[in-house]
Amino acid sequence: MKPNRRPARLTVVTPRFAIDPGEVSATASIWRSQEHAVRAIPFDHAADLPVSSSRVATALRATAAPAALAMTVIAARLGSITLFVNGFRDRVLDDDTSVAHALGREGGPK
Amino acid sequence: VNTISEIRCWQLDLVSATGTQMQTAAATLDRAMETVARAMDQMAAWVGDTRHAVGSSVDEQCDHAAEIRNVLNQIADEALDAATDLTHACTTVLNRVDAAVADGFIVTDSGEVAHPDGTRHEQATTIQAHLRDGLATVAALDADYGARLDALRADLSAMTSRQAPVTLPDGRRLDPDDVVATLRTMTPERRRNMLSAMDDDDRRRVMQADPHTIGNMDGVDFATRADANEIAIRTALAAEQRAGRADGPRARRLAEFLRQTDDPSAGRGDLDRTSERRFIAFDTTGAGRYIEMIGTFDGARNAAILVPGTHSSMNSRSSTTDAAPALSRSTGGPVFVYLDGDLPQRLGYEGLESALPALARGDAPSAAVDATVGLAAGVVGSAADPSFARAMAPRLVEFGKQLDAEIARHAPGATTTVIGHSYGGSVVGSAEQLGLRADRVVYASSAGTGVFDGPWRNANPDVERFSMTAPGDPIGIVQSLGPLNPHGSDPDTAVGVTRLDSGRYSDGTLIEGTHGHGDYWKDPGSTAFRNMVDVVRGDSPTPYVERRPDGPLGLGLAPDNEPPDREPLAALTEGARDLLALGLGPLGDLLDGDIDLPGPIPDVPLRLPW
Repeated sequence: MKPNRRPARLTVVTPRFAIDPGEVSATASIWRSQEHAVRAIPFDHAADLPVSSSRVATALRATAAPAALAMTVIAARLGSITLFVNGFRDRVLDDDTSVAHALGREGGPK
Repeated sequence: VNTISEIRCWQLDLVSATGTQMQTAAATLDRAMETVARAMDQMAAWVGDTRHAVGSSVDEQCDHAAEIRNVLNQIADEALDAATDLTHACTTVLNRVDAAVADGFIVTDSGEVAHPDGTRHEQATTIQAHLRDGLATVAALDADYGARLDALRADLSAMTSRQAPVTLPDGRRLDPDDVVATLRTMTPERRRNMLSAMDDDDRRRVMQADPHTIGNMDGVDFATRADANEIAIRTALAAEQRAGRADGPRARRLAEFLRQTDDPSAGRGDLDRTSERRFIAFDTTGAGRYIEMIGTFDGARNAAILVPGTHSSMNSRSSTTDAAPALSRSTGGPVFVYLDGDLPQRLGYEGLESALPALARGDAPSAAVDATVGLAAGVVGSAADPSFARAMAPRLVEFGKQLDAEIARHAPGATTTVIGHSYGGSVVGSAEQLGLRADRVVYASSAGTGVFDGPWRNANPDVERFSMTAPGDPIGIVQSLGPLNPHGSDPDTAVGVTRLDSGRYSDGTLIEGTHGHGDYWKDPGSTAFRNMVDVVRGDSPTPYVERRPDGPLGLGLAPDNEPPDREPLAALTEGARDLLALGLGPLGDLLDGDIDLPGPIPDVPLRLPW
C-alpha cells in the first residue's frame, strides 16, 4: 500500500455540482412537447362567436385574444427555459471536452 | 331590453360550447404544467446552482399558469351557467310568443300584444305582461353574466405576463400571492376587515391566486369563498379525469356539484328557477369536506346550519343533506349543509361478520372469539367513536362566527339555528360545549349532548334548545346509556331542552322505530320536519307527546297495551336486525356489556375503550 495515498471515502457526500446530460436532454424534450401543447390550446370557439346583441356573447368573444396571448406567453417561457437548459448542457459538455483535450495535448499536469 | 327577433338569433349553444372549450383549455394547461413540474422533480442526477435557478423558474411559470387556469375555469363556469340560464329564459319567452301567435294574437318585436277580437283584450294584456317580464329577465341575465365575463376578461388581460399587483387598504401594492401569505398570518376578523376595504377586482384577483386557500379561509366573505371553491371543484374534477377516474364516484359527485339545481329561494313566477350550487368550504382530499350554502340571504329572517350524521361524506348523499333545499324553501332562509370534517363512515357492527364462517361451521367458541376481535376492531373509527365530533366541533364554532358576520352584513337581525342529526347532534353538542353561538339548537335523533366534559357554553345566554327522538328509534338506546355513552347525555331529558313531537308522516302514519331515525327528512309534510321549520322560523313547534315509549320496538318493548304479536325470540331477532341495520349493534350491546350471540352460544363480555 502506498503510504501517501488518500484513504477511500467511506461516506457519500452530496456533490455541489453534477449533471447527467442525457437526463437533462430527456427533460428538455418533455418541456418542449409541453410548450407545443400549450401553444396549441385552441380558443376558436370564443373567437368565432357570431356578433349579436348579447352582451354575454360579446364579452365571451373578447376573452379569446387575452386567453390565446396568455398561452403564447406561457409557451414562450417554457421554450426559453428549455433553450437555456439545452444551452447549459451543451456548454458543460463542451467544457468537459475542451478541458480533456487541453489536458491530453499537454500531457496532463507536470 | 332585447327584442324578440334579437333573442331568436342568439346562438346560445355556441356560448355553451365556448364554455366547454375554456374548461378543456384550463385542463390542458394544467396537465401540461403538471408534466413540466414532474419532469423537473424527477431529475435525480442534476445538482447545482443552475438546477436551483431552473427549478425556481419552473415553479414561477407553474404558479402563473395556475392563475391563468383559474381564470379560464371561471370563464368556463360563467359561460356554461349563462348558456343554461339564458337558454331556459329565452326558450320560455319564445314559446310564449309562438303560442300567442298561434292563438291569433299579434305580438310586436318589443313584446306588445293585441288581438283583433276586442273581447280578448284582457288576455292580451296578461300575455304582454308575461312577455315583458320574460324579456326583462333575459336582459338582466345577459347583463349580469356579461358584466362578470367582462371583469374576467380584464383579469386575463392584466395577468398575461404575470399577475398584476393589487392595492391594499393602506395603499401598498402587493403581488396577490403575497397578499394570500399575509392573510394566512391574520385573525379571521382582521382578514374580513382588510378584504372588505379592498375593491371587488382586487379581491377577486387575490382569490384567483390561491382559490384553495381563500375558499376555506375564515374571515373571507362567503361570496368570494364560493367563487374560489367553484374553481377548486373544476380543478379537482380535471385532476380526477387526468388520473383516469372520470367515471369514479368522486368525479361524478364533483360534476354534480357543478350542475345547476332548483333554486329554493326562487318564486313561483320567476322565469329562472335554478341556481348554481355554492360551496363555502371545499377540500377534495381524503373523504372530502364541504359546506354548501342552499338558498340566499336575500330577504332572509333566519339561517340554519345542518350537521348530518354517520355515512355522510362528499362521495355520498343522505336523506338529511338532500332535505336541505326543502328546509330552505320552507324557512325562507339559507341552509348550510355542514360537512367540514370527517364523519364516521362505518357503523361499528361490521366486525361481527368475521364470526360468520365459524358460526357456519358450528364452532361456537371460535365464533365468539372472532366476533369479539372483529367488533373491538370495528368500533374505532365507527359511529361509536367520539373522535370525529371532537375534531369537527371547533371548526363548527368558528363557522358559527363566520355566519354571524355574514348575517350582520347581508341580513341584519336574522336568527341562526343549528340542527344536528344523529352523529351530527353529537358534533353540535360538542361545539356548544366549546362556545358555539346560536339562537336556537335542535338535537334531532341525536346520539348525545356532546363528547367533551362539562356543560354547554353557548355564547348566547338566551339560546333555545330543542330535541326530537321518535318512539322506537334505536338511537334511544345510545341516549340512555348514561355515563357509557361516548356522545354525552340524553338530549331529550337534558335540562333546558324542550322535547318536540316527532309526530306523523304526511300520510298519517306514526314516525317510529328504525325508520323513525331519519325518514322524516324525506317528508317535508311530516310533523318532525314541520317542527324543525317552526324552530328555524321562530314559530311555535308542537311539544312532545308520548305516543309510544322510547324503547326499541323490535326488542319487544312495545307499549303494554298492545299484546305482542310475535314470539319473544322472533321479536328479539328482528329488533337486533333493526339495530344492526342502523349500525347501533355494538352500542346496543353496551346495554348489558356483552355481545349477544344467537342460540346457545354464550354472550361475549366486552372491553371497550371508553
